[in-house]
Amino acid sequence: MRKILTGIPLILGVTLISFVLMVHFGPDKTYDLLGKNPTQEQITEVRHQLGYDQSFVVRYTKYLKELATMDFGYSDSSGEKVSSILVRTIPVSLALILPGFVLGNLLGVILALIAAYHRGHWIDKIIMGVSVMGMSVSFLIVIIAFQIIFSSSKGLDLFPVRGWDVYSFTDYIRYVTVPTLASIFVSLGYNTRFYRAVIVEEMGRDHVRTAKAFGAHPIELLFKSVLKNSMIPIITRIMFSIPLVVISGSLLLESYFGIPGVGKVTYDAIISGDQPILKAVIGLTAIMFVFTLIINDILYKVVDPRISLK
Amino acid sequence: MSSKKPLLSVRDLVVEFTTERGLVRAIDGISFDVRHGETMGLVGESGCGKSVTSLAILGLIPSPPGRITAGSIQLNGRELVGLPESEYRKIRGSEISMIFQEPMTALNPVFTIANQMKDVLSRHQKIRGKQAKNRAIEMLELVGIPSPDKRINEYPHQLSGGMRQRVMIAMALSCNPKLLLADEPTTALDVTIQAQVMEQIVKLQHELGTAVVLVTHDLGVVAESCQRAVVMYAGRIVEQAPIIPLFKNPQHPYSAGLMASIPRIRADKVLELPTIPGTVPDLLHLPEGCRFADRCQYADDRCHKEQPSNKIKDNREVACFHPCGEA
Ligand SMILES: Nc1ncnc2c1ncn2[C@@H]1O[C@H](COP(=O)(O)OP(=O)(O)OP(=O)(O)O)[C@@H](O)[C@H]1O
Ligand code: SF4
Ligand SMILES: [Mg+2]
Repeated sequence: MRKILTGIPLILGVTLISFVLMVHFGPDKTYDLLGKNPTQEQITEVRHQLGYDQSFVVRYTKYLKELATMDFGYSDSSGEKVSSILVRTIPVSLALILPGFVLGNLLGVILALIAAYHRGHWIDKIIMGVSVMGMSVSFLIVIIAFQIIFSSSKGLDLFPVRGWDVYSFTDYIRYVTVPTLASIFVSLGYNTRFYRAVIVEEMGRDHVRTAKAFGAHPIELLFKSVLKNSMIPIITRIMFSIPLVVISGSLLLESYFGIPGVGKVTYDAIISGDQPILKAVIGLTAIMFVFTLIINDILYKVVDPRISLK
Repeated sequence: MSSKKPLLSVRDLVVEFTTERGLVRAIDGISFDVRHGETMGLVGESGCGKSVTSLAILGLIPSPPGRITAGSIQLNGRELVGLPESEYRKIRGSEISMIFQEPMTALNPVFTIANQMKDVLSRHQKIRGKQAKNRAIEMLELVGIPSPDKRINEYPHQLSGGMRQRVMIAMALSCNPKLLLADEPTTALDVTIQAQVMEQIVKLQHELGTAVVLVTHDLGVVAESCQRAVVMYAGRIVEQAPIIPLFKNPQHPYSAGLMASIPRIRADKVLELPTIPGTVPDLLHLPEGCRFADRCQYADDRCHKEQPSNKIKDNREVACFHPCGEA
């Protein structure tokens, strides 16, 4: 509970920084709305409507109120309520990213365990070699290659190339499979290498030698003596990759697969300078970041008795 | 007693490590026995092969880079060298146990004492749950941990170094091993705690009849707790003898040098192996003759050319051409 309270100043800080950046470097809508050669009165009039003439503190407080009530007004470009755009698109993005994210990490840990168990042998070498290969291919190329392989008439032609016409679970699987495979492919190499390094380091610890000296089976060593101890770095990596995966993953995947998620909406808002949407997305990202930090700390406490929530 | 078969019998054991600089023979043909219920000291300078010897007995030489390349280790007449891993695992922690030097890191930090002790008990004694926990509490009580029924639910970081080492001892003795290997069990502890923990080991060793191989830098501890000691130098045994004759009348110039400095260490409370002028030869560039020759005041031409073999006489053994006290 205390942790959540300490999260509040963090949220304030993060949103303040993003707000300053937005106000100072974000687009000024005045001239967009007025076209060429506006009169001075028109400018003042529009700036007043947009709230640009108010003091920074007032505008920031207003932004915080918007965040707290989740009411960001209406989109500049479509006129739709921002909150209803988010309610419509965020679930789509989550549904798109989650399977790849979960499977990418899960498979990463499993492959890392297998590689660590066979450390130095050919199984380890094959897993690590393939990981390096996976790491060195760019996400874009993977997406395009997978679209050709799985979704084009030149390849298997099993899944739709683009879009998100999801009304049933079967539809969902049809549309989510290729993006999921692509994101697993790009993340798996990094994950496996990282997790293997963590596990191998843990296997060299004194307490593992103790367990060996007391007759533990190698499998038991891996799952009992090593896995739980390795959880801190594993959790850290997973939690800290969430904001990145959500933002970059959904931006890329959604634009290349034509999926109407929040990434696509954000991308369009950046292009058109749709401030209400940008404010909402930036604010929510800040909150998400702070929440992952809090959950991260709570999970630490769960796996490591030496860490206490002060 | 002497006619009885030894508990552990090590013969001509050779352990080699492949390193970047070449093949290192860390143990070069050592032979010794450990009798039932005795405490045997294993002393020698850092790097002489004490830990490698204990790990070899447990079949835990890290491989690669290490390997037992020759010799035999027999426990109650059963050959351990070349024993399949699955068989060896049954011995580790049950027939032979080991306590390590670092109580701070030797226990798993993310599991409770109960959890770790119960693992060992269920593995070797096939007792689980409440029964295993009760047995573990009994053991903790035996090693002198106050309110063991509460302590057992704590994590290692909640215990002091001395308490953790007691937990290690309790765990090591929980399956009634015949042999306990204690590799510098007290070196990492405070001086006052060292004495208490040593006392505890000796007391339990008497009560349970466990044989102990005590690896230590502290000759005072050897004098107080051991019946016999083996002195190692650069991968070889240079002398082994019962404690009293060894301390009163050391025969190998190296042991003599160690013993000569004892009054001084006891007075100064320096609990490390006394230093003898000179350095240990590099295991990669061993001299042709006696390995101690460079530091030996009695060394002659023959010592530099030939390696002395181990000669057994009157229950003691020495590897030297000119043993002290015989001239
Ligand atoms: N993992 C290893 N790789 C390579 N060489 C090793 C390894 N372990 C031990 N050795 C070699 O074996 C020799 C003996 O090491 P050992 O640990 O048995 O010494 P020790 O007598 O226990 O010393 P200390 O008193 O410092 O604990 C070392 O000098 C080293 O050359
Ligand atoms: S053999 Fe020679 S050099 Fe070696 S210890 Fe004996 S006297 Fe010294
Ligand atoms: Mg050692």
